[in-house]
Parts: sequence; C-alpha cells; structure tokens
Amino acid sequence: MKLRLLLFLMLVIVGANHAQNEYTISGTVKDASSGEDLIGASVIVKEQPSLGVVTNVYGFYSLTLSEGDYTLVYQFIGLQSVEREITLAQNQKINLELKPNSEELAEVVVSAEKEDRNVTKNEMSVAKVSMKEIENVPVLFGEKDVLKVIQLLPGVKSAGEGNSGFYVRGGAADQNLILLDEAPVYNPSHLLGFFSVFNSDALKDVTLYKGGMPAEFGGRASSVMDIKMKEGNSKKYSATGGVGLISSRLTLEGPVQKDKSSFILSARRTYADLFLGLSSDENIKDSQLYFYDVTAKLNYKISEKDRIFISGYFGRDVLSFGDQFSFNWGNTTGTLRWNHIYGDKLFSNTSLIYSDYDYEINIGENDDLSIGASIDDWNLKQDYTYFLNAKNTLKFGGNAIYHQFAPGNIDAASSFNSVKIDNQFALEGGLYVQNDYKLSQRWGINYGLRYSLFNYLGPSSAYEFDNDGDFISKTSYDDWKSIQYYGGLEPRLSVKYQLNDVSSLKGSYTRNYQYLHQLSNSTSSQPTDLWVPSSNNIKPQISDQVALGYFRNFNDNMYEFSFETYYKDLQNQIDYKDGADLLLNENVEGELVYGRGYAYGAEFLLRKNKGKFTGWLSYTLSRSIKQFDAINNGDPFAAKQDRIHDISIVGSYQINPKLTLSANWVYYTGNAVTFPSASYVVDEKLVPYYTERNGYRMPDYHRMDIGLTWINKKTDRFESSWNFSLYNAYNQYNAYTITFRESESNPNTTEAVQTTLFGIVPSISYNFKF
Amino acid sequence: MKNLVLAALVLFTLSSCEKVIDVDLNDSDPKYVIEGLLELGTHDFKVSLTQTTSYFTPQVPTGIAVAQITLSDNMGNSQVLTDAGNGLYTLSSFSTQSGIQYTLNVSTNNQSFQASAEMPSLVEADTLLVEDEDVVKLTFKDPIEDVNYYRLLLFVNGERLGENLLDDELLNGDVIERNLTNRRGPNSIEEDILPGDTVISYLQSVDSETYTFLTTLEQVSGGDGPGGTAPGNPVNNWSNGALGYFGAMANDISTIVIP
Repeated sequence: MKLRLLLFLMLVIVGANHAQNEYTISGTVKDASSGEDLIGASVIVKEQPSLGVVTNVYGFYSLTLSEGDYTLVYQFIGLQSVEREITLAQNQKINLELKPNSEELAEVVVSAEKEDRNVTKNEMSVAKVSMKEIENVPVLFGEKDVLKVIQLLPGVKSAGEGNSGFYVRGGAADQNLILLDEAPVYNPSHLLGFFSVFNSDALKDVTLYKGGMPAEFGGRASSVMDIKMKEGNSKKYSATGGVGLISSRLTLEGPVQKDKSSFILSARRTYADLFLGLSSDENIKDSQLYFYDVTAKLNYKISEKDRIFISGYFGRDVLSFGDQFSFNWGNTTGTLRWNHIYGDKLFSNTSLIYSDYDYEINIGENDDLSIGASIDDWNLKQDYTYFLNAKNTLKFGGNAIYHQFAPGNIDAASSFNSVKIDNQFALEGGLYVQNDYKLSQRWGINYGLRYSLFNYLGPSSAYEFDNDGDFISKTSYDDWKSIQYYGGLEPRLSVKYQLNDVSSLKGSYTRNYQYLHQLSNSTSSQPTDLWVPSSNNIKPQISDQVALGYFRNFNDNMYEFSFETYYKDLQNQIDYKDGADLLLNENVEGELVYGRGYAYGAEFLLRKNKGKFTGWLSYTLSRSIKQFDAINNGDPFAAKQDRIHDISIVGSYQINPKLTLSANWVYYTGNAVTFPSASYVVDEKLVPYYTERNGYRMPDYHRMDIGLTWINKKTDRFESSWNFSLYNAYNQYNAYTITFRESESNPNTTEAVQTTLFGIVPSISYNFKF
Repeated sequence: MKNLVLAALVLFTLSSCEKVIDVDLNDSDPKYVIEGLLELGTHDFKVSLTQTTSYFTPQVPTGIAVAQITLSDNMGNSQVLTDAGNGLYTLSSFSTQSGIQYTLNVSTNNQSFQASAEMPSLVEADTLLVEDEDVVKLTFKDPIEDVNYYRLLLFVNGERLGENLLDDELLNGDVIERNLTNRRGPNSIEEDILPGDTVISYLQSVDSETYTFLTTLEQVSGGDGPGGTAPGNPVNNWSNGALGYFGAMANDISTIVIP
C-alpha cells in the first residue's frame, strides 16, 4: 500500500511539467563497426543542452519534446558524433549507428559515454573502466583482468596478492554483488584467487557502484559490480584470441542473420600444470591444477519491438594430487532475456536467471569419501524504463529469487557413514521505483525506493541456541512453510548541483539489505567458503551510507578530478568464535557471533583521459572498524579490510601508433592481523596466547609493474600484438603471510617467518584479432 | 586441507620464498595456565599450575606454589591435592569411575578457577599392527550407544610421535581402522620402525570438552598460513579466563615389540 502511494506521488511530481503537443523520438544507437548496442550514449538537444537522455543498457533511448525544430546530437566517446536536424510534429523513430572516429583511432580511449559525465551525471561513487583500458594495464602473467584493474581505483581495494576478492569502502568481500548479465556470481576467483572468473574478451561494460546505487540493484551491503557481456558482432565474423605463458583464450563472434541476430563464444584454459608432468616425483607428475571457462551469448531481433538474448557462463577449477585427492569448483550462470518496447516511451525487459556455485572434494583412490556443497538460484525479474520526458526517466520493476542451499554433504563408501546437512531454501524479492530527474540546468536528482524481502522457507529445520551458542532444540518445518521473514525499505538518493560547466557537487544516501552471508573463518578466501541464508539466528546485514563529492574537469575534459568522502554504518555483522568449525557443521549458526561495523574515508582521483599519455592517480584514506561484544572484550578492532592508506598510479604512454608503454605502482598499509602476545606449554606443546584481535599490521605493501604492447601488424583485416610485462618490477618481497616457528639456529626460541609469493615475474603474450 | 592449499600455491607460483623477519610484539600480563587430565581407574593424578611467558623467548614455565587445589565429584566426595613443588599438585592412587562428573577448583592469589569433566567409558583396541616399516594401524570397534571422542597417540621407543583426533559422528558403531600419525611434527617425515623397536598405542576416550580443546588447540597451533583458521585461543572449560584444560580420559594401551 505504502509503495503504491509512493509510486503515485512520484508520478504526480514528475508529471507536473507535462505540456501540450509533445512528441517522442525513440530508437537505438549502435556501434557501426560491430553492431554492438551502445550503453550510455547521449542524445542531446543542441539548442537546449540541458535536455537530453542517455541510451539504456540495450542501446534504447526515447526523448519527448514539445513540437518544434531541433538539432539532435548523438555522442559516444571514441565514435564520431552525429547531428540530426528534425522537425518534430509527430512521433519519430531514429535508429543510428556511430562510426569510429578516424582521427582518434590511434588514441587511447579511456572513458566511455559522454566526456563530462563525471561532472554532469546524477550519480556518484561509480568506478568504471573501459575494456580498451584493461588491455594496457600490466598484470600478473599478462592475463588481462577487469577485477584487477578496478582495484586500482579509489575506494576499491584488493584483498591481497593471490586473492581476487576485493573490498569496497571498508566492506567485506561478500558484500559485493557481482552480476554477469544480471546473474549473480558467487565466487569471482579462479585458481585460489590469482585470476578473476571473467574473460575480458567477452565483456562489453563494467560498472562498479561503491555507493549511491540505483534502486534497481539490491542484495549486498557494500557495492554492485554490473558486468555486461558483448552481444557479438552483428556485421561480420571475427575472432580474437591470445596465447600466454600460462593460458590461451579464443573468442569467436559474428552474425547469424546480418543485423538481426548475432552470437559470441569465448573460451580459455590455463595450462600451467602441463609443466608438472616433467617432474620426477610421481605425486607431482599426476597432479593437476587448471581452470577453464566458457562464455556464450546469442541474441535475436524478432521485430522492431522485440528482442531475445540468451547468455551463459560456465567455469571450473580443478586441483588434484595423484589419485588420492581431487577438488573442483566453479560457477554456472544463465540468463534468458526478452526486451519489448511498448509504444515509444516504455521499455520492458523480462529476465529469467539461473546461477549456481558448487564445489566437490574427492578423497581416496576410489573416491571413498566425497564432500560437496552448493548454492543455486532461480530469479525472475521484470524491469521497466519509462522515458517520461526530456527531464524524467523512470525505472521500476521487481524480482523474485528462489535460493536453494546445500550446505554440505558427505557421500561415503566403505567405513564412513554418509552425512547430509539439511538443504535450506529461501525466497528473496524486491520491488523498486526510481526517477532520474533533471530539475534545472544546475540541479539533478536521482531518487528511488526499494522494498526487499526475504523468506527463509521449509522444508528445513530451525535450530535454536543458548547465549553460549550451545544447541538447545531443533524444529522441523514443512515445504514452503515460513521459518523466518525479513523485509525492509531501502531509500536511495543522489543529488547533483552543478557549480558551472566544469564542476559539480554531489551527495548521496543509500540503504542496502543483505540477506545472504558468506562464512569464512580462514585468513584467505577459500573455494569452500560457505554461503548461508538469513535465518531465525542470522539477521540480515543492513548498511547505511552517506557520501559527498566534488567533481571538476580541466582542459576540455582532458583531466578529471574527483574528491569523495563517505561514512558507512553496518548492522548485524557476522564473525566467529575462536576455533569455530564451519565446514560440514550442522550447528554452524551456533559458532557465529554478531556485532556492528563502521567505515569512513576520503577518496581522491586525478585522471587524464586524452592524449598520448593517459592514466590516473588515486589515493584513499580510510578506516574500517568492527565491534562485537564477544570479541576483543567488546572493544572496537580493525577489520581485516582496514587499510589506512592506499595509493595507485596507473600510466600508459603511446610512444608511436605501434608501441605503448605502461606502468603502475601500488602502495597500501599492511592488513590488520592477529599476532600472539605470549606463549605457554600445554599437552607438551608450545602454544601461542592471543590477546587483541587484529592488533598488529603486516608490513606495508608496494609493487610496480611495467608493460609494453607492440602492435606488430595492423591492417583492416588482421591485427596482432605482443605484450611484454614485468610484474613486481623491482622485486619487492611483500609479505603474503607471517608465521611463527621454532628457530632452527636457536631451538628454544621462536622466530617470525615471512612468506612472499611473487618476486619479479616476467611474462609474454601474443594477441590477435581478425 | 590447509597444507594442500599451501602446496598448491607453492606449486603454482614456484617463485615464492621465505625469510625470517623481526616482529615487535606487545607483552601481555601473565595469565594462569592449569592443566590436569584425570584417567579412568586408579592412577596418580597431577595438576600443573604455571603462567604464560614471553612469546619469542619462552622461559621454562615457573610453577605457582601458593595454591589450593581441590578435586570433587558429583557424589559429594572431595579431596585436596598435595603441593609437590614446582607448580605440581598431586593425588596419588586416585580412583575414578565412568559416568561421574569431576570438578577441579583452583584458588591462588585471590583468584579462583573451576572446570568440570565427565569420565567416559573405556573403548578397547582390537589390533595394533605395523606394516611396511612405517604404517602403524590401530583397529577398534566404536560402541553404537554412545557419542565418542577419541585421541590416538603413538609412542615408538618411549618417544611420543603424532596424535590423531576423531569423533564418531561419521563412524558411529563402525569398526574403525586408523593409521596412526607416525611423525614428530606436521612437517617431518614418517619414522621407520625397525626390528627391536617397541611400539605403543594409546586409544584414549575423552570427554567432549577435552575433545573441543584438543581440536581447537591443533588448529591454533598450526599458525595462520593461507587457509589456516583465523588465530584464536583454544576453547577450554576453565572459568574466569584461565588457560589450559581439565579433562577426563579412559586409556587403552596396546604394546608390540617388532620381531
């Protein structure tokens, strides 16, 4: 009821500036060379620059204006702008394709969309990198990786070497919603964290919302990473690929029917483990360690008004030692979408989304013991975009997700008993409405409201625990019986005040509910880290974030500067009792303790977007603190992701059209860790005694990487390049772990040992495109 | 599990390396450490009372001499332990029975600590075998009616090698066969067992809180490498924050001499 009233009010407000004799221009904007839809291309009225719209994620736009003569400007960075003079006396359809800008061909294009979007858009706290940009940033083993590049932007922190997890504004790694074509990806890392699961060749657009999330997104407390796959070239067939030191990849794309349907298929596999075969040790020789992933997408234009997309992802990691032990894990996602345009103004998208993450461990020659766990989702989602007029773009919709959790089961042959921990089920839903309102030349406001709900359902059992976490009782529930219901309103607000043509002030407030939680009791992320639903014991996490920012562009948008500051409050945070056993534990909820967290910080970004030299300088000053009654005597302590200083410098210099030199340097405060303060002897063992949680710091981390890209052949039909890189170019021995052991030289004393994962790592890869 | 992950990382990176570094640790105020393990049957019962020492250069723990330690049971009996010096307190030839709850009270320096444990029933070993010079196999039948927790210890020529901890959650009522850990530490290699060696196994049935203590002790003393449990103190049964544990245990000893 409340919602309906709000929706009504919203329509009344936005409808207030309705005038007579208005007509609508609508259509799609595409890239002329590939036929890919352009996301966020701007359509501006030249006579009144404050009027205009941007295309949505399917390249669709709709602009409603009063009767009259106009010049429309279609813009997208890196592509030639197109001007169209129109006489608006009836509704019109204008579909456009923008051609590559021949003069700028050689130039590195850093940002997409409108050049000054940074200043003028009603959004803040957004981190964006273009696919072009990723190609030049030097990375480990030359394996270009969008997640690693995003971590070089302010407010986004790498979880550390050998970890694809990332922290956004002091939030934990499980508080990031990672969407691949709308499907949540539960484990974004391959090979124990050295690579992300995303093959950059198949991606079109990556946007990370650190705050001020639009109301259409929900479900995680800290951030949304929205990744869109390419549709595939609808003009001609093409192949892109690369051969690197440890992996190879290949992408094929092309039209099925020209301009009507297209496909893209992308695959990669690592082969680092082939070298293991050379070992003389039998066990190593029979070991395997590799991953592969396949991404595919097909789209079909049924009519001018209807279009269907099918996309899927399948990835798997395999780790095994001889025939004694094997371990494999991976994500599977699938999305089926139907776009429909009602009239000229209402755009509809209906999606059916599947997502799965699971792992399996087999032990023994005949797989005597097999351990597995999984999470599965089915999600039905309906979104509408209503292009009301040149000042208001409304979005509304809703979704329902059916989650199924299999927290763990053991299948045993021979002498073990099989165990199965009850599956868990939940229904998660959301309803939202939001409006992007250009109030005036100076003021812009994006406001919205989301109602989210979560119903923890049978068939399952509710466990009850006393204050010490000891099991009291278990109650069984039948199919579809509600065990626990949660719900809440999530207001979203983002305001822009334009100081002048080149600078603006922005502010935002966001509330997010998170109903799924990842339990991880170890010091680094593991494939076995378990996702659990909110339940009668676990409450949903709630985050409230306020952010303020100043944005300024210089020199005709050549330089972009931003300063943002934020405060984030996190309720119902989860931590663990000492020595908590999370794996295959039926009473796992009894091992948890609850508390709160808060994070605050300031982020600076100076970015150069045009010219031979491009890159950015980013600095973040921040804290992330937790407070739990049951931990650290109730005193606040630094969260694992608390990094006080974080600096990234990324630069790329085009020496000539064939040669680009790039480098980046990162520096950050060492992670907060727990070290012992004393020791004692018990059971004939020397045991460390810990006093304060996360009371110590790892040494500060810094590293420089250098890369060189040489385009050795470039014609209209074929392009090939070599990429040389040096990871950790000055061979800094950064600490991966610090452990304590008995000294070898002085047996009765203990010494601290630092393990470093990577010294200098050179790599080379060959890339081609035709 | 943890070692496998570490092995995989090393296998993968090949270039990883280790070095000894200086870490500046804060010293904490000393804490009391009380350890006592009561055995089924008639045995001498010993309790040691010590304190924590500096982490990097642990001194030989100095025993606490001024303490009153009392052992009582839920049948209304109670005895005071004798101060044997050096922080050791004893009861000689003390008899215990399965199913009885024992409580140890310690008071020293105006502080008092209490812990309880219930004496488990004895589970006997069926066979102890040595195969291939380094595999030591212990076989026993798990009683189906109880929830059991076991600690298996191996001694070769009087030296204690590794330990195995297991419960019967997955094995209730089974005939359990276990290879005993035949190593001095997690990173050392298996010892060869030669003719003439004396091999002794302990099949210890322990109470649930002792089992929790021993398993969490095993986790935390493993350090905080990748995949390791976040560091913490082992979970014990002492009130008032004392370290160590008070446990109850039924021990079945098997001995073989290699011909």
